[in-house]
Amino acid sequence: METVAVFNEHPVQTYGILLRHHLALLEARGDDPRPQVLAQARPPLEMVICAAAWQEGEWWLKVCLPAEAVPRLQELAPAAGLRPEAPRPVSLLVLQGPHFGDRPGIAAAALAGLEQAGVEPLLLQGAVHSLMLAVEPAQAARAREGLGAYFSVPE
Amino acid sequence: MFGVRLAGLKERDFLALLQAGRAPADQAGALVRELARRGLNLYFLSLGPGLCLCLEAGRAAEARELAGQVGLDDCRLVSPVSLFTLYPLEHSLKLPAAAAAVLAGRGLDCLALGTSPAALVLLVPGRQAEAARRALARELALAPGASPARESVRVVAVTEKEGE
Repeated sequence: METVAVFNEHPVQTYGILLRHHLALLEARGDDPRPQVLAQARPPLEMVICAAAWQEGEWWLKVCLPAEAVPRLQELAPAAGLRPEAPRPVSLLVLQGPHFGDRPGIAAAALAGLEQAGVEPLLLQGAVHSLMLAVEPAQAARAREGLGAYFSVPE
Repeated sequence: MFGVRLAGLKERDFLALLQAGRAPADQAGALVRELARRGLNLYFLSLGPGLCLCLEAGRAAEARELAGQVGLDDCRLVSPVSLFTLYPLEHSLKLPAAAAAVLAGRGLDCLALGTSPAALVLLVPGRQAEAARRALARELALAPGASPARESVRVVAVTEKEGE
């Protein structure tokens, strides 16, 4: 079944743009990961977003999490077969909007907004109806302003 | 085993995964912009420092060719792949790690995964989709009466330029 949708929004309408501070981006890699170690952690390991993939023969994990949650993940990573790198402080912008998962051009618009603001994202992720951008904390306000040229929020 | 109880699991098939271990931001950005210009939707996207793009399988070759044109010569294309969306995420690593562990425990490949604020998305080879669906639903305790359900609606999105 095909549904034809015509989007004619300039700027693109969102449900909202959320800006979160005091986060960190932690990357870890390993060629023999044991994810069950992370799954069985009690209490569960707190995080905001994550991504992982097999690339270049290794499992690459990227986790954006509250800064205070970093030491616990660093501590558990070796048991999970992962070598964590030094965490980076980040701020996270989250955009959610109607049909964001089904319509082309959302990520391109966000990149255009960041480029206009002179900001390079450390992580850009699009999943389901959300687009998430991790940026240097010092660039967060500028990034939000740049996104404002391409995305609108409800009054 | 992991204390996870899924409320929903959705599946979308006939997709492809384009991956690069390293993707400079300018090249990745150029590729994303060109894909948008051609109307290719990205069902999942993760950039930095690597690149993972999930798009419809029928246009995967076109996407790889475009990647080469912007300088991303070492892209890996996996096709077909199936995309699963699992709910709820609950702000912890438990669901992503449990899903990866379930697949690994069955000898199934989790090619890539990523989260939104509320859900987990994971990509498996198309030939393993049925086994992955069964394993995830059973071992992550998919609630009775919920999915699995295939996402059969394909939105053909058209973005008009201002003034047209």
